[in-house]
Amino acid sequence: MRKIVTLIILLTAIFTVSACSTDSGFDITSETEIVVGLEAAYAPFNWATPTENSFTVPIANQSGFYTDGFDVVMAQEIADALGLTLVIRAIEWDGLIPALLAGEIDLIIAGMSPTSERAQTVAFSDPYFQSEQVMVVRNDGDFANATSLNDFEGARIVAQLGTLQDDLIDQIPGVNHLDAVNDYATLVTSLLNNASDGFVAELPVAMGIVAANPSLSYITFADGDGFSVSAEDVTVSVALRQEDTALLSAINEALTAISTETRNGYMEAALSRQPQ
Amino acid sequence: MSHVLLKVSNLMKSFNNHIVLNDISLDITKGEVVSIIGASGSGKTTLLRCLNLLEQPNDGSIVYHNQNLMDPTIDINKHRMNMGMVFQNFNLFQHLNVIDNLILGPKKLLHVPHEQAVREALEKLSLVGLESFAYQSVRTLSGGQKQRVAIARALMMHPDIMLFDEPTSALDPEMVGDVLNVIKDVAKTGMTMVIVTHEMAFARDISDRVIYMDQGEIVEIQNNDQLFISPQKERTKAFLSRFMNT
Amino acid sequence: MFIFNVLPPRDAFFETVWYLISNYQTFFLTGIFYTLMLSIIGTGGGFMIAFFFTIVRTRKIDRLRQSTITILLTKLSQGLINVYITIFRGTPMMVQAMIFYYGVSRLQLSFWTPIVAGFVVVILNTTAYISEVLRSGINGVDQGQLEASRSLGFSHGQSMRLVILPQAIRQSLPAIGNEFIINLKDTSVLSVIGVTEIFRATQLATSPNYRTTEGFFIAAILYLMMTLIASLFVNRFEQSSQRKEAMV
Repeated sequence: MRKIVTLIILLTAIFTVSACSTDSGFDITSETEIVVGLEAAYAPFNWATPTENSFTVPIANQSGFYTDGFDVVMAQEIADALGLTLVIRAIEWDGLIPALLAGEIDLIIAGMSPTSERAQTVAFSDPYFQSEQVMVVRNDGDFANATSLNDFEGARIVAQLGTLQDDLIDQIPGVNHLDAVNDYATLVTSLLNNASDGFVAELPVAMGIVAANPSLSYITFADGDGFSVSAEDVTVSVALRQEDTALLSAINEALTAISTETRNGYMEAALSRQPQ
Repeated sequence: MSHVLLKVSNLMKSFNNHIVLNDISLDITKGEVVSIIGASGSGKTTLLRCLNLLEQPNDGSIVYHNQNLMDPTIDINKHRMNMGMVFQNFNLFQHLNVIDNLILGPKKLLHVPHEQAVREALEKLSLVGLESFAYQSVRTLSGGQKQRVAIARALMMHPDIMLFDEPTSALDPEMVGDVLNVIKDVAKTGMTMVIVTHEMAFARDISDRVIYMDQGEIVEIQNNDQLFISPQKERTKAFLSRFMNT
Repeated sequence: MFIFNVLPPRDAFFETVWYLISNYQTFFLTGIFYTLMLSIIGTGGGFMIAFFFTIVRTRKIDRLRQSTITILLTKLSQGLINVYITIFRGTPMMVQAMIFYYGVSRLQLSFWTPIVAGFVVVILNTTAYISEVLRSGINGVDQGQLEASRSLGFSHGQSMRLVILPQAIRQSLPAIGNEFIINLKDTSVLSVIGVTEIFRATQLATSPNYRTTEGFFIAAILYLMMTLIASLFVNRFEQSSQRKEAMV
């Protein structure tokens, strides 16, 4: 019993002491490292690999694990521009923002879209990549030559659960909107097995899938023929804590130095490195 | 010089409003062997178990070594070290072998060094004829052997009083004799003993006093074998007649 | 056997399996390591705390002999322990992991990483289950053992420690062994807080190549190997203790 009372007192002490920890804004001049959080499971933006190359960055505290991908390259660019050492932590998607708020990481560079919902909790930089929404189809299917949304009338279309892409499907007139699935691997399997006629994906992701599956191809839409999306839905930005205002300006400045061509180049290079 | 080792006064015990011990008073003098006989439900086992507070009496007092055992402030564990108890179902520690059963108490409670405890245990085991079983698991022993080990275990604590709760009732008839002989040997050493038993011949043979209990009361007490020869009370006579005809 | 440097085509199941094993060895080995460590330390730690909890839980209240404060503290700690057990047995370990990991993260303690949280959660969870196992183990020990022990002069705590619990534990070992096997599989839920045990390691290994079926086929084999080996040990032990009983 004595032991339990002691334990309670000890825990209370720890809680009180640590609640007093201060959290002033990120000071670029005094810090040496910048910690970036990403999922390491969203190719071609970020993925995990056991082999090192000139682009990979090790996952902190996880020996034998490295990350690669478009986000990793951009993170390195930003860190270099800020003159800080880059440290990457792999965190589950839903844990990224909590980790940012808790101070475990300083930035989220994880293919994250700057939605107005998220913007209530975190701050976003200028976009560091712009993508478009495309449709992945079978080469031998009925819709291989479609060019606009109207061409998909009556088609069985599917997307990943909980994503923007799933919401977009209803923009197709007369579409047969199949139940969403959990991940991209399931989408691919469904399409290959003719359980669906197409799925919606972001262009870089579609490029990766098509390169891995020669019987598939993707369809891009000309302006006006494709999905209507808001700007925030098709861009990805760096997320930071709202109080790190100095850091935000520094990152935006660093981003202006990387042109759109360079960014697209990085994306294509990442796609080629992605294990195919 | 006889001195009273255990003084029981006006002991009361009930279970669920049913009175099991009704105003029991009894003095146990040092060195005497007291047998308690009676039918099942007479309260004899309850009385015995009250003596070392295994059962908590509702009222009365039990004075032992100048302390009332029912006083909540005393350390009952210390007193129990001086009182040995032998159970009807032996209650040997199943996870220990024979010798470990014997030395556990002395080592942990009396802080006897290991080698000394082992030596004494082997001695006690040879007294009860079981020295060769020292390192066996207790589960391999027969009932009679287990009870002899149990007696040795109680004696290892050097008690000044031994309590026996129907020590042979759970034994096959052919083993009863061996155990009774061991108990007789213990009595010969001058040990103070209280024995609850159904073995009338044994009680008659070994006792300095015999107590007959019925319905929670002490009906009659007599010295030596007198209770069997000339019972005074009707209830005693009725009880004995059921046994004496065999 | 070849080492595949290039990802085999989609329909080449076993080549893909081999590709994943040979190219993502470190991932799978890390996964095995963490799954084992979490299970071993979780079950071991849980057992030790459950042992202590059980002694407290079985303490009898003696209104005559104990002071009011002692009785109050005893009742309080017994009550707290029982609440604790109810909560940890009544909620999924996955939920416990989320609450603990994200809750304590708010305190910004530097040592609070997913793996530390993982260990804590498995231990806390296992403690609750083993406490119940020990409690029924103790109920299975004959009352006479306690009586004999108290009659010799041992206190309640000493009796529990020296006589009752050793026997209860021996009886409970198969159940504790099963708890270990359950932990081997259940540590997979810690993937949701980012612990790199087998499930998450597989997720990481398959996300860039989308070969989830093949990847989780490997994971299943790994889990099966571990649980089979552990079951073998548990069965062997059960058989040997049954043989000992039969010798009576």
